[in-house]
Amino acid sequence: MTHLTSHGRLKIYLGYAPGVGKTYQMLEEARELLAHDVDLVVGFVDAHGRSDIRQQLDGLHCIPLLPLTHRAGTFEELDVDAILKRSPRVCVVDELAHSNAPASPRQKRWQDVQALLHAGIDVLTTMDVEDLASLSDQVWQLTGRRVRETVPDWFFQQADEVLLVDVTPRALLHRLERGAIYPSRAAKDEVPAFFQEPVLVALRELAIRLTAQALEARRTGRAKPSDLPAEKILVNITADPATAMLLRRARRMADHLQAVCIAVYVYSKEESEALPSEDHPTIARHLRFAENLHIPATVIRGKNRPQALVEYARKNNVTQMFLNGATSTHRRWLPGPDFTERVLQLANEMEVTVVAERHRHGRAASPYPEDEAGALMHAGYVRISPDISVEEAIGEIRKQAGTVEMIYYAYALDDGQHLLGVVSFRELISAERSKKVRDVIHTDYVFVEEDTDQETVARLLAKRRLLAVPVLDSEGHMRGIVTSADVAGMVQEEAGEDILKIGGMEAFEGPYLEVTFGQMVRKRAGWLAVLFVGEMLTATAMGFFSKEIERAVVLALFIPLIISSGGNSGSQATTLVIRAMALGEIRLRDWFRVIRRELATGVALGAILGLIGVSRIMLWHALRGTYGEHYLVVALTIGCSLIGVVLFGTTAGSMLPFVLRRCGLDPASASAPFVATLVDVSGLVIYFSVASVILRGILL
Amino acid sequence: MIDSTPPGLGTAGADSKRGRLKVFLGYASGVGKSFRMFDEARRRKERGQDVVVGALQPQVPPESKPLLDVLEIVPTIVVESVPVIDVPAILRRHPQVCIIDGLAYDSPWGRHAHRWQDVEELLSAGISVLASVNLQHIDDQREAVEKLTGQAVTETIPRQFLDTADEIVVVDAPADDNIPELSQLRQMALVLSADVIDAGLKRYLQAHEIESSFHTHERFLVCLTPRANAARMIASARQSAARFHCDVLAVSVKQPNLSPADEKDMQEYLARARSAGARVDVLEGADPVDTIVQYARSHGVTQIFVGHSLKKDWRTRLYGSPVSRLIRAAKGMDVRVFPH
Repeated sequence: MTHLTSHGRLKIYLGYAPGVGKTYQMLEEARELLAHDVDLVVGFVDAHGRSDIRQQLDGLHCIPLLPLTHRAGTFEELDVDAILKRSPRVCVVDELAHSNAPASPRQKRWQDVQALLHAGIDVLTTMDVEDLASLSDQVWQLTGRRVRETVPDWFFQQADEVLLVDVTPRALLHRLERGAIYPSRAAKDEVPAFFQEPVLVALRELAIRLTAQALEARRTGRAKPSDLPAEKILVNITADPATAMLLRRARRMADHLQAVCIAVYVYSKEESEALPSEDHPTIARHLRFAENLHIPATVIRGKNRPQALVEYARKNNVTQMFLNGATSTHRRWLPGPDFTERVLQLANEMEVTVVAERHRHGRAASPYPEDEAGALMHAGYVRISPDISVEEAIGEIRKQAGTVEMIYYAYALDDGQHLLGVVSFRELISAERSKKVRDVIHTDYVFVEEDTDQETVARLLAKRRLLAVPVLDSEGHMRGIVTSADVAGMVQEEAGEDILKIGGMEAFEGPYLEVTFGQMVRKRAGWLAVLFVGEMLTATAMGFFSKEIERAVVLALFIPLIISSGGNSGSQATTLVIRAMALGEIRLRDWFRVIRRELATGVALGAILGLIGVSRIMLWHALRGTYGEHYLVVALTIGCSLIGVVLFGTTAGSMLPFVLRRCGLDPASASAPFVATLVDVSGLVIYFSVASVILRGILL
Repeated sequence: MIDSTPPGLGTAGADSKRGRLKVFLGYASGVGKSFRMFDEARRRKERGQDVVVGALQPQVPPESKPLLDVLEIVPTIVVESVPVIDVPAILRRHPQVCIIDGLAYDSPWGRHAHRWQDVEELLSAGISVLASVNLQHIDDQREAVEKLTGQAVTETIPRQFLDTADEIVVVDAPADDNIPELSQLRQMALVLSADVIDAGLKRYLQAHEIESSFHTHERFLVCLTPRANAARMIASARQSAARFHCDVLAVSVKQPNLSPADEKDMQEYLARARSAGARVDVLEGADPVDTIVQYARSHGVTQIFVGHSLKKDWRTRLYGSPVSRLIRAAKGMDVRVFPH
C-alpha cells in the first residue's frame, strides 16, 4: 500500500493475550527512537499499576489525558487536539481497540489514531488478536467471551507494520502466577477465564497466523496483480440473525482472495415504494453492519427471491455467493425445494458457499455482541461485604449512592468477587440493625450471564418483577447489573408473535410485507377452516331451536347481537389474560383469582350491555312499535340473555388460556376466534334457554 | 517451577520423566534467537534451575557474551573439524536444562549422525532442552527457502522432530520492507510455528478427548465424484489453502457400479489431489452423504467442497438433492458448491 508522504505510518504490536509484553516492547522502541532524537510523545499508556511499564515511561513526554465528564462519572481519554497542536513525529497510543467515553469527540480510539495518521503523525499502538472484528466469532468459540471493543479489519490492514509480540503460553501463565500481569490484588481475582493453556495456545496460533497474513497482504498488495481471475463475492442478506456472521466470514474470505465483496437484500414486495429499512429494523441493521465492514450493500426488488438474487449475481459477474445455512435446516416436511436449494439449482455456474451457524457448547452465537446482557451491563452497583452489620450496610449504600446506577438492591460479594446474595434496600431498612448482612440476603437470587441475550433478560425481569438482575461470568464472579430500565420496551416487542397467534394465525417467518401470497393463504386458511367447521355447530344449535324461532320470529332478529356480544367479551378477556401471562403478571395458580374477577366483571358487563339492549328495544317500540305487544318480555329476554352470554364469554375466554397452558400448549393459541366460536354456539343455547323460560306461555 | 508442572500441552503428555523441548525459531540469522534463548537460560538460572550450555555457534554474537559468562558450559568436542555435543559428559553432569545453540548440525563421526538425535537422547534422559534453529534447516521448508535465497542448505532436521517440541518461540523481528525475500521468510517462519503449535494443540485435544471446537484454522475437504470438476475444486482448495495456510483433505466414496471410464477419471482425480499435497482417502459406506459428513466431523473439517447436483428426478425433487442433504447434515461446517 503506498501512502501519501503526508500520511503517518501505523505500527501495531500484536499480542494474543494481556501480559505478553506488547506495551513494554512498544515503549522499548519508543525509548530507542527518543535516543535517536526522534520527536516522540506518549498519547496514552495505562500502566495498570505495573512498575516495569512505569519505569519504561520514565523520561518519555506524556501528553496529559483529556478529562471528560459524563453522568456516570469522569473519564479520561486521548487528547487528540493537544497532540495535533504539539505535532510530534511519532505518537504512542496503547490499546487500539478501546471505546471512548460517551462525551468524546470520536467513539473509538482507532478513530483517534486515524486522525493522528491523517495529520502525518506516525503511531505506535498495541492490540490483541481477539480485538480484530472479523475474528470475533472464532474468539468467542475459543474463549466463550464476546469482545465488545473491536478494531475493524480494514483499519488493521492499513498498518504499515504488524509486529508479533510473542511469549509461550506457559511463560505467560508463570508471569500471571508471579503477579506480573495483574499486580493489584483486586484485579488478580478478575483474571479472565480464558487464561488456560489450551485456550491461550489457540489464541496464540491465531495471532501468529494473523501476523503472517498481514505480511502476505502487504507483500502481495505491492506485487503485481495476482494471475488468478478476479473473484467477486456476493453475500445474501436476510432477516436471519446469523447474517452478521455471514458478513464477517465473507469479509475475511474476500480479504484473503483479494476479491471484491458486495451484499444484497432481496425485497420481495414489488409494488410498495417504502424501503424495507423503514419497516424492518433487523434488515436495516444488517445493511449498516455490512457498510461498517466496507461491504457495499444494496436492496433489490424481486417477487421470486432466489431468482432475483441469482439474476443480480449474474448481472454483476459474481463468482461466489455466500448464503446462510440456517434457513435450510427446517420445514423439511414441506414438499418442494427451499431457498438454498432453489439458489443452487439456478446458480449452477457459480460457486455457492453455504455458511453454517457456529456453536459453542451447543449454543448459537449471538449475532451482535450488543444483543447480549453484557452490552447493557452497568458496573456501578452497591456492593457490600457479607460480614458487616445491616447498620453498616445502610451507611455503605449512602456512601456508594452517588456512584452507582441504582440502589434498590445491594449485592453481597466475597473476597473473590463471587456473588453470595442479594438484598433489597427496603428489606435492609426493615431488618434488625445489628444483624449481619449474611443473615438477611437472599442466596437463591436469579442471575444472567454476559452472553445471555437481552430478550431473555427482559423476560426474566418482567416475570420476576425485578428492578435489576446481576450478571455473572461462567465462574460466578459478579460482572455488573442490568436494570429494568435498560430493557424497557423489549417485552412489548417480543409480544408481537403472541399477538399473531391471538389473531388465529401462526407467526410468519418473515416480515408481513414479505410473506408471499401462497404463504399468507396457507398460514391463515387452516385456522379459518377449523373455525368455520366450528361455527357450523351454530347451525346445528339453531336447528335445535327452529320451533321456537318459527313461533317467535322476533327472537331471530337478535341472534347476531347476542352471539357477537358473547364473542367480543370472550376475545377481550382472552387477550387480556394472555398479555398478563406473557408479561408474567399471572401464573397458572392464579386461575381462581382470575375467574372470581371475571365472574363479577362478566355480570357487570352483561348488565351494561343488557341495559343498552333493553333501552334500544323500548325506544324503537315507542317510536315505531316494531316488536309487538310483548315488547317488554322480549326486552327482558334480551337483557337476561346478554348477562348470561357475556358472563359465559368472559369466563370461558379467561379460562381457556389456563386450560391450554395446563395441557402444555401455548396459551397464545387460545386464539380469540376460537373463543368466539365456542361462545357463539353456547351463546345460542343460553339465549334460547332464557327465551323458553321467560316467553313460555306468552310467545312460545 | 517449569519442570515440575504436570504434563499439559506438548508431546511428553504421557511420559512425565521426559525432558521438555523448547525451540527458538528464527527466519534468518541475526534476528536474535540465540540472544533470547541465552536470556531465558540466565533467568532460569536466577530462578534456581540447574542450566548448562551444551553447544554454541562457532561465532558468539557480542551481545550474548555477557549472558554466557554466567552460564556453565559443557564444551563440544571437535571431531574432524566438526563440533560434536559431548552427550556422555552432559548425561553424567545431568542438569535440569541444557542449551543447544544450533540444532541443525550434522555430526557424522559423533554418537549420532545428527545433532537433533543427541537432543532426543537428552530429552529421554529427562533433561529439558532449549534449542535454536533457523527456518531453512527444517526439512520441509528447505526447498522453498533455497528457491528464495538461492543458497543451498545441507543440514536439516525432520519436521516431525520439530512437531514434538513442547514449546516453540518464534523470534519475530520486522523485516526490511525493501527486501521482499526477507519478509517472505518471516512469514514462512510464522506459518511454520503456527502449524507446530496447532499440532501440539491437536495432540492435547485428542489426549483429553475434547471434541474440537478450536477452529484455529481452516481445514478443507474436497469431495471427488466422477462428474465433479475436480481440477477446479482442487485448484481452488489449494489456492485458499495457500492463503489461509491450512490443510486440504480429499475423499471419494466407493461406488459399486462405476463404468470403467468413470473409474479411470476417479483415479486421475485422486492422483491429482495427492500431487497437490492433499491427504487422500477413499471411503466406503452405504450412504455417501453420511459417510462424508462423518469423516469430515472426525477430521475437524471446517469447509466441505462439493460439486453441484446434476440429477433432477422426482426423488431429488421430493427429498432434496444429495448436496442439499449434505448441507443439512454438515452442521457447523461450511459447504462450498462448485459448478461442473
